[in-house]
Amino acid sequence: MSDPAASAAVQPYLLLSAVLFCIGLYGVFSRLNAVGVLMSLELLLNACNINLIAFSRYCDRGVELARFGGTALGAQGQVLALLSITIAAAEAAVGLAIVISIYRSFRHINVDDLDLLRW
Amino acid sequence: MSAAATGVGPAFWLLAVGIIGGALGVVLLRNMVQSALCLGLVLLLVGGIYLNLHADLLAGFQVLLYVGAVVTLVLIAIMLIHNLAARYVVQTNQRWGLGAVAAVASGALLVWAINDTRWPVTLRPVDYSEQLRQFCLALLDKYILPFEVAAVVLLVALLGAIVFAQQTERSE
Repeated sequence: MSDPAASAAVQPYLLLSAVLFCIGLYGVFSRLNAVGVLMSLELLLNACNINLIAFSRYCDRGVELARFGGTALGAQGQVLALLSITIAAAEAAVGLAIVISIYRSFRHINVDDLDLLRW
Repeated sequence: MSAAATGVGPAFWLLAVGIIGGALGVVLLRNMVQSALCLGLVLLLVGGIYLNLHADLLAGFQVLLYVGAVVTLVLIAIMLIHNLAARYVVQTNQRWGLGAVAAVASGALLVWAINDTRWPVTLRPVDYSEQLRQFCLALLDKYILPFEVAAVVLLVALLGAIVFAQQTERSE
């Protein structure tokens, strides 16, 4: 069941996801403006979603259905990815609203210079 | 690692090259509008990866929610924020070298861990209608509470976004 040949089926997806995650991580570290940081965060979330869908396709053991009965196979990771996409949409909306609100007060969105609460 | 050995088709490699190139564009381009368009390309191609993994419903959600909504939001934010779209503004902070080292180090760790692990893969045939049925059953059975909570979170977040972004009278 877990022979090396089958194990290699999921690996390209995980490697792609790891590379995408690291590019996003670099973006979060290096971007100066808050919109750039938020866009890099979207890359991070998408890397996680690729992982979830890949595991859902290849490594799912199924989830017991209490009310409908039986076992749903290959659904667990997809449900998680759906919730993750939903939360990412909410995060983008709130994040960009905060960025616009910050821009109104400071006339810039340079994350290095937003030190109002730092003493 | 050749395509024949891993069992992923040439479509995957084309999508992967596009995703990585687009992601580099997102983090490296100086023009934020071009950067946002690169983000749209990456999100669209990630939807292609979902199709490659036979998760067609999620690919639809990806295109509708990410490419349709999030990229539009980002572009509107760039439009509203003055001189963010200027062409020759420095867009990186002074610690970008440290950030690159941290990103490459964590990437090396992840790649080592992925190659070192034997994943418990079960290969099974794809049945699209059955897969969609089981997805919906799982969403409405075991995951009904997270589903409802996500709906409430989305509503509260969008209301909060309106509250944050609206013009308010400044009371001193």
